[in-house]
Amino acid sequence: MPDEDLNRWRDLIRDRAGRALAADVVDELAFHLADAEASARAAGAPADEARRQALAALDAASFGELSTRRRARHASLPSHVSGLGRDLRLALRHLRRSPGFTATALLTLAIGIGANTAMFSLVHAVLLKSLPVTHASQLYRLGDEYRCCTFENLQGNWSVFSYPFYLDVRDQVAAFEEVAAMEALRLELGVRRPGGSGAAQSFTGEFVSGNYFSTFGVQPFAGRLFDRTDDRPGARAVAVASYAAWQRSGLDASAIGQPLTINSVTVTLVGVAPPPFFGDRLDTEPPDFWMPMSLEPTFMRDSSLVESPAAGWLFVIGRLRRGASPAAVQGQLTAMLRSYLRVPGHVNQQEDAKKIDEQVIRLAPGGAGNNAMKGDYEQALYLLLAVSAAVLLIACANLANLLLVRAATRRVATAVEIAMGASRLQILRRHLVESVVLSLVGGIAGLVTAFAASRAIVAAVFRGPWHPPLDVATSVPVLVFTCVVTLVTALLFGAGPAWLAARSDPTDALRGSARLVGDAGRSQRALVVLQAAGSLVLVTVAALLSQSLRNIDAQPYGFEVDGRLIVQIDPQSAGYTPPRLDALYQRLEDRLLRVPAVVTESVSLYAAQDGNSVWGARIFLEGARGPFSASWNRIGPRYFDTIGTPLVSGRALDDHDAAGARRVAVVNETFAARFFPQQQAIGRRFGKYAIGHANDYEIVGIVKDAKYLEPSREIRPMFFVPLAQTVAYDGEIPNKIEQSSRYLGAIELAVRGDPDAVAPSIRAALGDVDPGLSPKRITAVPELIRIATSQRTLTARLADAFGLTALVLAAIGLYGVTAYRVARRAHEIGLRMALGATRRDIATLVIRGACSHAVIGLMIGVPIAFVAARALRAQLFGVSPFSVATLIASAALVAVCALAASAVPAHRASRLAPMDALRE
Amino acid sequence: MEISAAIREAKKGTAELVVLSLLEDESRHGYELSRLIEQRSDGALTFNFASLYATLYKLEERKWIQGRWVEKAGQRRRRYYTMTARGREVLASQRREWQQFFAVIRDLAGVRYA
Repeated sequence: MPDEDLNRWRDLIRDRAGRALAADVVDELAFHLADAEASARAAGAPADEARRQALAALDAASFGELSTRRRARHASLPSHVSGLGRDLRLALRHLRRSPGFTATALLTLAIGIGANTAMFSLVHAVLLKSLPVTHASQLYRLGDEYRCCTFENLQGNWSVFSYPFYLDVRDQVAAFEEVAAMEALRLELGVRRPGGSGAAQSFTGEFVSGNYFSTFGVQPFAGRLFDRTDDRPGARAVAVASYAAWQRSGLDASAIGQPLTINSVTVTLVGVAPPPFFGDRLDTEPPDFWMPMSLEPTFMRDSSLVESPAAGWLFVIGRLRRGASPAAVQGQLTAMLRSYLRVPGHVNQQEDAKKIDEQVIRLAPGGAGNNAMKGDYEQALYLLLAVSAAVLLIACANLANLLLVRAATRRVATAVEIAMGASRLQILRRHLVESVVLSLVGGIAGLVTAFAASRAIVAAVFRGPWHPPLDVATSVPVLVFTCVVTLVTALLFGAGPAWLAARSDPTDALRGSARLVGDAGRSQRALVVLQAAGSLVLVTVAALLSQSLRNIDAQPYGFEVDGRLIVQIDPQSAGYTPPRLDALYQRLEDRLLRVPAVVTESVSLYAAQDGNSVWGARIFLEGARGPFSASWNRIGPRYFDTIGTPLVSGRALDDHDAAGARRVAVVNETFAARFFPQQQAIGRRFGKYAIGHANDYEIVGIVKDAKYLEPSREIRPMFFVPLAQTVAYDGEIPNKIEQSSRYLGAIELAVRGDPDAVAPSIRAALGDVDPGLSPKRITAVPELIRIATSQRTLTARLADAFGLTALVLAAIGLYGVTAYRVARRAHEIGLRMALGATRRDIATLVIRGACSHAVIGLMIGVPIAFVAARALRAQLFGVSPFSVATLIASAALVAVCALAASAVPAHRASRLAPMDALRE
Repeated sequence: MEISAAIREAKKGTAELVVLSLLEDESRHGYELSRLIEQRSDGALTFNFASLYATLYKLEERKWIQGRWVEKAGQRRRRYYTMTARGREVLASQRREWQQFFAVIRDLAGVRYA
């Protein structure tokens, strides 16, 4: 049989089959027909009759069953694995062929996954991570709250303890392998090498029990760590440096075993802790030196707390033996606490004795240590994580939309694949592989983005003196999180379009053009609704947070911000004792006032906005009213002038308020209004700590309220007492506190010119007064405020960025859907125009179609936005979570974006020439 | 009308049995099979030739038969189908089932089969 005959049959078969058949099937069928023709000829039929018979067989043939059977027979890669490989190659080829789509998708994914990973790595670093110690899961902490510190008060749920109680726990609770105590407060240290001259270097220290390092299972980086034998009265004074301090101090290996002068005490540096170990808690100021508890009296002298049975100043963390039940230990600890409190002298207040049976100790997992940052950052971090998840969801909706459009344009190809025998599962898999590939590449880009972003965030939040040991480097949990997010993302945006593609009916697809039918069109519109709702929620959240920030910035601080400097000092670490303090403060004033730029100078126990903490006390008012609680500060003369807090009535404190003079105090407006409502507060009396002291101070002046704590916090009643006046109390602890309060921590300066430019001359002046009194830091007040509000500022800025991203994504999504629908409806639009519709009618038609879905989205979004805002309450300041104005403004913004996004396609639709449109 | 529809359905079911039976003893190619079916049934049974190949591919997919291209000297390249061991088992069991089926039909409907 000549080849051209066979080829003719092949062409005919291909023609009649109406669909693609594999080449060897066509061959086999052609041979069959050629055989039929040949055998008819052999049987004596004339040529045209033989041919007619064969053609009749071809005409009668139904290829329906045949074609779907071919693929499996000729699949050269039958296994699932090689199938996946092929899908992978196909996916890569598809993505390469549409660079615009691929770039858009990758950018969207990098932003979405990157934002989530960055937020999670922060959540992980700040809230979830364990301390870098041995078997962190065995560690348990006494108390599940972070608190510092209380004196004489019953805590209810206890978390800070006295040293005598710790010793009881250490010696009596057998379930603990080891149990260590550590100081909750930080000690300021001035460290010098013996014989060294000049200012001491500033560090922070922590007193810990001798078994501190063995409890955590930490090994030394250099030298040795101290143990219980070092923690005994009379033992040689030793200290261990943190690795960070070791590096910062410029000490080298030769310094190990050598003495250092710390706060005028000679201490031997015995070793260095390993680099990852930053102590027992994540803190903005990790300790630089650890010293055994037995040194505490040497350092703290009159204000030593080790012997005090009622001071809550220690955290206690223990390593539980294997098999020990935390619940049983918790019961034992609570029982011990109650019997401890019943010992006379262990509870100071008579009325407290009745409440002993309500006191509890909860045992909490201690692997993460005493997380000091949790309370401050937990809410904001989870908020941002939720917001970034919402952005990712909107991004997914966008990608799903893009994929739906792609699936529609590929319907013919898909139909052919199905006709060629591809199973729906294979089609589904192919589409999913493509989504996963996109998502993986996006995930990798996201990881890189996240790495940079989380570092930038940490750097932006923790400025100035704060250097928490936050390790936001990519770790296994972060990688796992990113992988999960990436896969979930791929499924979220890929599964819907893949399913719709796999469901497409081949005959339908082959008959029609690449139009988006039924389900896909509905899905697209549902996605637009979702995006509009999501954007509304995010924009509302961002708007509320930004408004809060503006409200905080706009409120009066109650002191002058410009031209003010705060110098942090620590006379105690410089070796001063109370009798020498007055002379020191006088010398400081004399010397600092000689600096040309300095206008006025004053001193105080602590400065406003510096470090976010204040001293508080129980107070009693004359006539035995109380106790109430109030903040207090010890201040030098001209304090209010220097910081710029206006006097409302009476007088300020001055040089006449000396040690022997009548004891006086100035109070803030809140104090006067709360404790002496509708009365003249001036001339009234009150006192600290004990009812017998209710007449100690006479109020001589009222000053304007000022913000000492984080600016969003409510102003507390506050009083100010003179530098020189102290009270002698009966109790041991009140006396110690009173003595400690003589060590002032802040110098306030009003300066001319740029405060930062003045700093060097201030430093020099302090060196003249005493080289050992090195300022811990010199900061301009605006910078203090920026530090205090940095977390809130960044939260608001990030929420803004996320909100904007959401809005842009939603607009792109709506634009895409609208443009696509206009293109698909060109025929209908042409028809309408041919029937007399004006351009305006057409534009309205398109915009109405697009915006109706956005409006449905907004209606769904409103209640969700309310719920989200409610959850946000604690982050808001001066704005109601149910701010209708904010909600309307946000909805308007989303609506305008929707309008803008649909305007371009609407315009294009109205410019269609009817005849062209009808030809489509 | 309904009767011919019923027979058309039945034919579909029997196609597999017929093809398997014809391949029981020797390998054959598609055209040969269609000729044999036509001859042995005296023209009563003819398969649309596309359906015949659909059946062949289906059986091959199930691994009951195996097809391969054979080029004999002086002849055109043809695809021959051979029954596999699995195919033999299936044929045996299909025969049993058909016999049981006809027995039932015979009893119920009075249809006799030659």
